[in-house]
Parts: sequence; C-alpha cells; structure tokens
Amino acid sequence: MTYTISCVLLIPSQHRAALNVLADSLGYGPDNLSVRLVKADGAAWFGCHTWCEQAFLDQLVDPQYQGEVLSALIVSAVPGGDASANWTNSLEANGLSPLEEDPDP
Amino acid sequence: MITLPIASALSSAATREVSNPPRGSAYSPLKLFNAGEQGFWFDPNDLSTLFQDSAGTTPVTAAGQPVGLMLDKRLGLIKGKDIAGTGIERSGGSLVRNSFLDFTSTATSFAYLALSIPVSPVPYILVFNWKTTNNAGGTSRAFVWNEAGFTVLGLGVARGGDGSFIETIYVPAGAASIRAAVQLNGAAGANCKFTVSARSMPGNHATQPSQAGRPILREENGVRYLELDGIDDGMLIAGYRADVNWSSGVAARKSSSGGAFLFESPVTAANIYMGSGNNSVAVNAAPQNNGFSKAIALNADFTYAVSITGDNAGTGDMSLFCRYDGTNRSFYFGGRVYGMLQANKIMTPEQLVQVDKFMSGTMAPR
Repeated sequence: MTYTISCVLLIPSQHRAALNVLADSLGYGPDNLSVRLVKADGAAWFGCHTWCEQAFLDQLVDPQYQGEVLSALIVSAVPGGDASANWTNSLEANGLSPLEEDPDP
Repeated sequence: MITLPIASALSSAATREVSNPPRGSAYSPLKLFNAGEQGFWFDPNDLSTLFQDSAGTTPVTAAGQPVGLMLDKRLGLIKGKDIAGTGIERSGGSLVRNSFLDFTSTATSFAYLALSIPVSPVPYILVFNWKTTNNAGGTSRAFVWNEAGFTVLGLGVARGGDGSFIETIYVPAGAASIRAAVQLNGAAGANCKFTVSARSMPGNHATQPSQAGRPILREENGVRYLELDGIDDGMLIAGYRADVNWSSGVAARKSSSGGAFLFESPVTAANIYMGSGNNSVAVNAAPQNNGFSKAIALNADFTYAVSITGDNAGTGDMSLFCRYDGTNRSFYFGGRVYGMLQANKIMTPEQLVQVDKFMSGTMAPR
C-alpha cells in the first residue's frame, strides 16, 4: 500500500479544531491542519499537505461526515503530483499565503 | 501477584537487527556511541527502523509509505531484557495458563485477555504472537491502553478468522503502566493462544503522530530516503535535547526554497539548530556565531560533518526537519534526507572525516 496522491487541505480558522477532531477520530492523528495561513482579506486560515490514497478522498465525500465543517474544506488532490507545486498553486488559487515567522527572533 | 509467561520475542519486524554501514563502507557510526554518548542516528535506508504510525503497529515495507516512527540506531537496536508483567485482566472469557496464555471467549462478541506491564523509563516494543481457532467469522487483534483510564496507545489491525498472527506495538519512554491485550470479537467459544514479549528498545526515537506531518519513504537507484514536503513534515524526539558540546553529520538534498532546518533543540534565549532560513545550512549562526555555514544548491546532494563547542544546552525537545517551539512548527525542510546523526560529544577531525564519508556513502546508488 503506497500513498501516491498529493493532497492539500485548506480551511478557515473557525473550523480548524472540529476538522482536526474529525481527522483524529478517523485514525489520522492530532493536529493535522497545522500550517497558519492568512487570506488576502486578513482572515486566518489553516492548511496542510499530505500524501494519501483514494480511500481518504472517498471519506471526504462520505455522506456520514458531511456538514458545516467539510463544506468549508477546500481540497486539491493531484495523483502523482508535486507537493510543493500543489501547495503553491492551491494557496494562490484561494488568495492565501503562509504566515511567515522570523527564523532567528 | 501473578508472574506472567512473558516469552522471548519470535521473529517479527521489531526483532530485525540493524544493518550497519552502507555498501562498500566498513565504517559504522555505532563507534561514535561506544561510551554510551547521547545522540541519535537515523538511517532511512534500513526498513527495520521505520513504522508507518507513531505507535509502531505498522512497519514500513516499501517506498511510498509514510513514516510515523523512526528508530534511533545509535545503540544498535539491541533490545534489552524482558520487562516483567505484574497482573492479568480478562473480560468475557476463561483462561488456562501453560507456557502460553490459552484464552477462550465466553462472550457473544467482545472479549479480551490483558497483561499488565509497569512504567518503563525506556521505550519498548511489544511483540504479540497469537493463534486463533473456532473464530470463523470473527476477528482478533492486539491492542494496548493506559491502565489509568482507557486511553488507547496502540491498536493493531483486525485479523479475520482463524490463523497465526504477529503484531508489534511501540510504547514510548515514560509511558504509564499499560495493559497489553489480544481481543477477540466473534462468537462465544473462540479460542486464542498467545504470548507477549515486552523488550526494551533504548534510543532517542523520532515520532510524528499526525498523518499530514509524516515524511514519505522514497527510493531511487536502490537508495531509500525520507522525502520532506517543506510544508508541514517534521518529527519530534520527545525527551531528548542537545548538550553544550555536540557534533552532527547529515546527507540530504534540498528541493524547496523554504526553511533549511534539519534539527533544532530549543533553549530559552537562543536555539541550538542545524539549518536556518532558506538555502543555506548554518549551525547556530546567531547569536552563538560558531562560524559554520554551508551554502546549499537546490536539488543537489550535500553532506556535512561538524562539531560545535560551548553552546547553551538545549532545554526543549529535539525537533527534526523544522523549527518547533512546543506549540508551533515553522521553517520546514523540503527535500530528501538520506541519513542524519547527532552526538552530544566533540568528534575528532578524523571522526568528522569518517562521518562525512559515511554520509556520502548513504547516497551512493546500490
């Protein structure tokens, strides 16, 4: 079993905690949505990149998990894709940018 | 008090011994740690050290799989003696003790037999060996939980029907008393004969509990390496920190223009790290100014070996492939890591040459 799909997940800050709880309950561990992002309008978002299988994408559209949280989730899945390119393109397409920090504060 | 029949480990992923030097090299980094020095040595080319999940229930068996637990090889992956269990708990079944535990379910569904294992100051590997009969249509699996409460630490894959099964589960250092069980979920009358070995596995092992944060194992020209996405991939060595004097060696390739952090041990005022922002590797560039830095060309392999003296000792847990202040991660390394070691000692110039040559060997096509 190998993970061949590059998958970027993006979500507004207010839904982050609920999505992380859902992911943990499905066996993907805690704090998956961990990268702090900011939208052009100043709104806080979070994102992540993971390699996945089709079964994971199927879960995202499974009726039993549908609701406000997954409705707000933006997914970019690219089979065999490049993680960095998928990430950069996904952020640009949604008007998002990373919240940078000074590495030597 | 019951003395449990904790048996010796049988063959399993967790019992595979370390494969030391890369092909063509007689040198092994184990020599750096002969006197019990603290540090770590990670070797992604050695599948016996890699697990897909942080609980160590699923070994990495091929390229393309995530890495949630990476065992430190600096002590040779030699397991310690059995950790004695101290009690038995069972639910929904009857027990006969032989040289193994013989458990028959009397429940119509869920039943288990659990061994109690005390607190251990070092990590250990549980190896479950079991055989089920009269369990057609049912399942069985290994699982581990904290005695206080019912917090699951590790959950094995459910195995269908009758057969013989082996499962390993990793328990981190300092874990509270746990219970290690084989669970039957089928009809009354299902039988399970099993042994559990709890063997200490000392080392500064690295984990990543979140799926998105796990590196992926890749392979090219017969060489395996960790691929870091430069976005959110990183690992943590809980309880391990850099000392005032330390040395390190790395073999890697950087493929993204983001952060270049390879590891970091936080302190209050200034962090101990290998790496910096963007496309160079610096060791404590500021404020310690130890004077080592190395420019990195994107998408080109590089190695280094370096010793540092007179820093502050780390006060926070060591993070790998990113910065981590205990709450937030940042400046992720994007690219490949073929091998990495760190030792809380000063290497001699000869040792540094050997380490650098060894690290170069980890990238050589097989």
